[in-house]
Amino acid sequence: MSGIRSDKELIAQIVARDQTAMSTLYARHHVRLYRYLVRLMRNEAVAEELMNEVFMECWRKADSFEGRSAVSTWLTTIAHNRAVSVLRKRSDAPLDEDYAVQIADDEDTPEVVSQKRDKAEIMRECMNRLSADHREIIDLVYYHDKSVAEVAEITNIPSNTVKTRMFYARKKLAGLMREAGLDRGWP
Amino acid sequence: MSEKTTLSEREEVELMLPWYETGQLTAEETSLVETHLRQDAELRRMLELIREEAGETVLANESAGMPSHAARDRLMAQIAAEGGEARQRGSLVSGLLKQLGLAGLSPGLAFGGALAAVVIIVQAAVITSMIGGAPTGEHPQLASGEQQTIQGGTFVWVRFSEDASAAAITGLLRKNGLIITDGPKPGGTFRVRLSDQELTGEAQTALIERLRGEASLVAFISPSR
Repeated sequence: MSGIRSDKELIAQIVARDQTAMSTLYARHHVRLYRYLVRLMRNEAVAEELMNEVFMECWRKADSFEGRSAVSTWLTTIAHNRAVSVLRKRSDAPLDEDYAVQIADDEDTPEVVSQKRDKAEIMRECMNRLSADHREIIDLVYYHDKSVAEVAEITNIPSNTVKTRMFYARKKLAGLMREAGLDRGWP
Repeated sequence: MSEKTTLSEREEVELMLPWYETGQLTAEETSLVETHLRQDAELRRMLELIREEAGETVLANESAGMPSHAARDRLMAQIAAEGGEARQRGSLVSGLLKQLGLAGLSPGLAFGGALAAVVIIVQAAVITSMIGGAPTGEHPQLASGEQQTIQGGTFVWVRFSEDASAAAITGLLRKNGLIITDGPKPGGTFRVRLSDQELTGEAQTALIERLRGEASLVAFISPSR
């Protein structure tokens, strides 16, 4: 009778303190939000905790959602802000570039690597070696299907910067793959 | 010059290729990209690389697992605990929306655009019934005389303190001859008529300062045109 409620209808019901609507919204978005966070934070427990914080903020501040963007973009924006805040406080955590070098040092020579693993596996491993900014934008575009404007909203950077950051993330990925023995002929 | 323009457009197309692959470009952008793809083998090769990257990114994300059921249980328990506390404020918001015929919309969505032109008096009695109102979600109806359209006067934006009781807010409105004419806006702000006269300068400031002095009831107040 009532049909499937849209995300924006769920938010309106959450404003009216409807816990069932909150549960539905969670069921719809928790997996992607968790994956966004776990790939950014590299820690499952931290990702789970941050994901719950995002949904609590949604519950508490649903009336601040103005409907200009998709609910998934709004939730991801909250997740981005919380993740960035935690990453900035992690003074003991290695920088992403350092982390990449550590992993690279532990690996076999590029020739051995390329013999042992297939191209897809190497690409995924190289993606994990990208900086948080680069990993994030590649995930937002390719996995979360976000437009330039949506990525700009989530990451709080201008649209032109979104495009160039994506370009440089891809270029860096290609460089890491070349170092791992897989030259894709670009750049 | 035209060569430079063409190069710049090609570079722009190259930057847009990932979004072309995911179908996130406008029709105009898509058309531009396809025009270049037809005549540029290097761009077509780039698109192939992008397809590989996109495919592997999806696989990598899908192998990132799922959150535990315990996480969901913790969240829902926390929400249930806060739900009771927040119900009264929530019923105020949803109740007012219902009274204004806008049930189902969040405040942020409900009071935009054309609705801004509609000014509806919501009497203090509504505040009383909403804040103290039935937790079952039922909201008392406005008597016909309690709702009318008004124009003119001096208006302010007010957010009442979350700790303020219904009786105290009603008393404040009555004592100062205030009328709520719109809201709640996002953040819980109401538009309130200060006076039926168009006050300016010191007279307006004095009234605002008097209300600002009611710090236990008024969390925020600012002039509204």
